[in-house]
Amino acid sequence: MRSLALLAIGAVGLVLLAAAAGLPVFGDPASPAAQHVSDDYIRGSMVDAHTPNVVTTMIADYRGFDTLGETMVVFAAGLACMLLLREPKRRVPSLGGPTHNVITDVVTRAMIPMIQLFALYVVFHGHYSPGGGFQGGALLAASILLGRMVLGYERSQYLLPSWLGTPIGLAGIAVFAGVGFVALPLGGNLLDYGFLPLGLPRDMLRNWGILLVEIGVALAVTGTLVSIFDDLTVGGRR
Amino acid sequence: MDLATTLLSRWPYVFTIVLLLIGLYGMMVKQNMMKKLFGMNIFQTAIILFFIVHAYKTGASVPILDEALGGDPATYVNPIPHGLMLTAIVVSVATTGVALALLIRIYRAYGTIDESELLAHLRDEDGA
Repeated sequence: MRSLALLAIGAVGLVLLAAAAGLPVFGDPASPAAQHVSDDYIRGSMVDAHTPNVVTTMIADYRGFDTLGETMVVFAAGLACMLLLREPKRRVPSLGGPTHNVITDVVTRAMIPMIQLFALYVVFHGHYSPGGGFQGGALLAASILLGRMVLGYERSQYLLPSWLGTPIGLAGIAVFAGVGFVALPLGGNLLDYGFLPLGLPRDMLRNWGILLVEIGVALAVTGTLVSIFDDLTVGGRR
Repeated sequence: MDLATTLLSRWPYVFTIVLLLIGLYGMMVKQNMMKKLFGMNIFQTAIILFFIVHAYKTGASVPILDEALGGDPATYVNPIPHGLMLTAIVVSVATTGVALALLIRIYRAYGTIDESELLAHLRDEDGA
């Protein structure tokens, strides 16, 4: 059985190696993946959305529909965890819990706001430096999970109460979808931020649209990751 | 030695293939479901790296437009794989959470997450 599996893995490896020989050379600027839309995005990012970070423009604007779907997948995964694990009547045994060491407590309490400040920087500076809603949301969630792990479940509730995780995730998706749907009654296509009623030139409107969408993504990711962690660790206890 | 030189100029692909096979090994051979999950995550990492390798252009800069570098697309790496994998990483974290939740449910129901023990348990249930 084991040798059969190894044989199959070896065969897959050989097929993949043979296929790799037909791929573009590493670092080839003329590889097919780097043509067409890729060039258009790099040329258009500044003109269309006034955003130097092409990755941000691509995620939130050019391919915003894809990102809306991805955010919903993340939220759906959070819901799945909740449905699988939350049993309100079940008494969850204590996890043993952290030992309440003064040094770790104090260091963690000092670190959490700094991580959160950096997370906000990552979200709001995503137009000009590496960053955006997903990264900032993951950082925000990390700061809360650090509190959950070091301070313990009960004493880290002040960071984000457990019951609030899923609603925040939902609010994030509502912000994203809401910004996207604004264009529809005003005559534009779904997720065309150029139709936001803010009275700015079109490229600046798309710039602002990207920021609003990134905030929505950050909320969705933060809420969902915290809710998944809470479901996995304490289940139905609130 | 033609194949060797061909593959040498594509060495990052070979690396991702090795990583992918390690993940595949974990998923196929390991009996502990938790280790299978780790294998799946390694597999995902291989695919993420595979996309990132495609984004690379020799001598190019990060895909953040800079006036000092001009607007020529050849001076910036391909932004599309970066964006796609950025979302894929977050989605993979969330789906790993679902997988862990399923493992917890399996453990609550059967008291084990070992595949062979589980299969034996299920066979007993069918027989009874």
